[in-house]
Amino acid sequence: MRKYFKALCLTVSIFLVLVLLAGCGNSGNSGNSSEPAKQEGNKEEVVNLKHWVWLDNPNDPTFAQLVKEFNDTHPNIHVDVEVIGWNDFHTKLLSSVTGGSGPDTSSFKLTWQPEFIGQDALLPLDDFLKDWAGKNDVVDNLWDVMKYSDGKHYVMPWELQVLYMYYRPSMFKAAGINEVPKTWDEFLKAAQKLTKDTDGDGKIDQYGFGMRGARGGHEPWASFVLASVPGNTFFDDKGNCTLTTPEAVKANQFFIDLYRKYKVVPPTAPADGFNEIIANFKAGKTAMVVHHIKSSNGMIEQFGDDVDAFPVPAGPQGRWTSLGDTENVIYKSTKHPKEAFTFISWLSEKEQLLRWDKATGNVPVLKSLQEEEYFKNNRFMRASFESMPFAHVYPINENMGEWIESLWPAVTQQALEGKITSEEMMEKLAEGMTKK
Amino acid sequence: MKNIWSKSAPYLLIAPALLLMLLIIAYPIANSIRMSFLKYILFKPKDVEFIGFANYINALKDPVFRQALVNTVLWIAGGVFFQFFFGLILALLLNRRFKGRGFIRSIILIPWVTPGVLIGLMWKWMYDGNYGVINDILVRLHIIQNFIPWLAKSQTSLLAVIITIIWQGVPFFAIMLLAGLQAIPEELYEAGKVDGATGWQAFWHITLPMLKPTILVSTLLRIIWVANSVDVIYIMTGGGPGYSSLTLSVYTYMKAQKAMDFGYASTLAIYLTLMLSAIAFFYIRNLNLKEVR
Repeated sequence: MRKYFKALCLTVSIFLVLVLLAGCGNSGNSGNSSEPAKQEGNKEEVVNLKHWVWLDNPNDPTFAQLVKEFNDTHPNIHVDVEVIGWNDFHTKLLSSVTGGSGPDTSSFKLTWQPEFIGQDALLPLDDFLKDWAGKNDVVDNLWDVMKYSDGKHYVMPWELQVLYMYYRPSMFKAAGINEVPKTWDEFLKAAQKLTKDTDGDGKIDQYGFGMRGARGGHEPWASFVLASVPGNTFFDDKGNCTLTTPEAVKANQFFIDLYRKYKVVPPTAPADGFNEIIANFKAGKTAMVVHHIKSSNGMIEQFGDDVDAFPVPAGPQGRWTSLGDTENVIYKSTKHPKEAFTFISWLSEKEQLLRWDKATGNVPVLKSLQEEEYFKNNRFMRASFESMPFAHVYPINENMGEWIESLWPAVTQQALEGKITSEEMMEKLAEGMTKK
Repeated sequence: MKNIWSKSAPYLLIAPALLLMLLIIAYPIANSIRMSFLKYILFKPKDVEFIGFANYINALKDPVFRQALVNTVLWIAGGVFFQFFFGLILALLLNRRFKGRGFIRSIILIPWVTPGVLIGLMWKWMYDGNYGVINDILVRLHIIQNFIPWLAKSQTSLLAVIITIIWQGVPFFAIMLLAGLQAIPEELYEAGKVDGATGWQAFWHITLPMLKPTILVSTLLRIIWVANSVDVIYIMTGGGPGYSSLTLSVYTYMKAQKAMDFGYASTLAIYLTLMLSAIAFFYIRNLNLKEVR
């Protein structure tokens, strides 16, 4: 009896091993073999596309509705959308594209280009763009901003946000400031007047400016620095990094002094990220904060008319503000580049874009839409449009991922704490940006 | 025939499990050892090359690595010791009979079952320098004059995250040690009493020695978990300000997930593994488990 039992166990375990092995082998095979079969069968009829997207508000059904409409109006194309959380998006996309199992199309950030173009994963769109009707309607300079260093365009413009300064008119009035600051010197004066003890207990409880010293703070920071750099660029004509020039170091010192010397920002500034600067502003702790249009609905909800906006102040060399962007791209691995372009260009056409920008609060990438009453009457849209002429993106190279995520916060925090000088900070930043 | 069967049966029976283990444990370990000898940046698949010990040498030259190493030692030592200390006190309290003990035993588990990300977010707001409840209480008690931005100062940020991890780990020790305490036979205490042992002597000569195996196992486990934990620090400070609260595991995470530098990240992970193995080795060797039993 026992012998039989043993034999039975043995058989079962051998069976399990085989199933396990077969399982591994099988899934690999079926993945490869069934797909072409399906496509061959439906060759003339339906082309399937896989599209990856992140949504700032996953509860908003607009994107799903748009895609459904696209599928209904394009019977020969079927787009499957996969919504992936923003936090994992880049990592997931990069690893699956590198591993060869990526989507056909996806949303994309300009700064990711080197990583993907470096491994030849993106499809240049210039051949398609030539014939795209909306090409000349795209906001001036945007095609230049989006041109990759090899002169080709890999991205289809879709969403835009421009950073500008939010402020509280009532606080300005109470502090006796009648005009919004036009230069960084005026900004400092205003911030000093706005930093005060409002309830008479001897402690400062309102600060002029909500500085962002943690992750993501590099964008507002560059507005301080590049306003002093001739040409307002990170690299000069000869390709040298401008961050270590005396002008930039001095402007950076001004930024550090807002915290160390003038104390016009909350003492928590080195650790403040997005949530904190917005919470501080909404709680009335700060009178000015830099962010883009996507915060405006929340601000209006909180303050009604008591919140307004102006473009970031100018330095001796003009202004610079950061352009936030989301584009759509096509991967070279797709079997249907033409249909893929039909889809991503459709998303950026006037009608679809109007609905999308209304739902999400993005700045339209098309000139004809900026003329729409809906956008013209919005004071935050106006601040965005005014900021467009000097809105730029960060340099795009493969060092920037780490630079943005960990180098900038770390060295900025060290400088804010006085552990390194402005010059040392800029040297580290320049080195991090240019290293091979 | 029968002999072969009975000899091979155990191996065949564990084969499925072994195969799975190899697949999900041995392979990743082997692969990360391999990657630590490579220049391996995820988005430069063409530039992958063997560079020997270059990653290991670079790490030793890397000032951030050295600071992370010091922070890791403080993080483990401070974190685990106080978790154990408060856990032991809690376990001794819960080992007494009182009304509502069952209820209290279950609610003290809350910190332990809360996800790390949530703990990080919770404590981040509690420490907040503008509205944080901790600052508020300290000011009301007149212990401090002004709100302190705990997480924005390098003098306090590491301490702040260590306190958080202590809070998280105390229930683990409390429950483990409580189970150990309840396994101690009552007769030992009775015998002690007959011999005239005071409460302190009973604790020192009966409770502690009897608890030793539990203490050893639970602290060793906790050292490994605390050393590997990323979520709490990453959420609360991101390793900052500067690098003041950066531990090796957080640094590894950033190098792998943010810089996509898998080669260097693997090297960092292997340094951490070596460090933990060394701790585990001396731990088990110097405090002989068998002797206690």
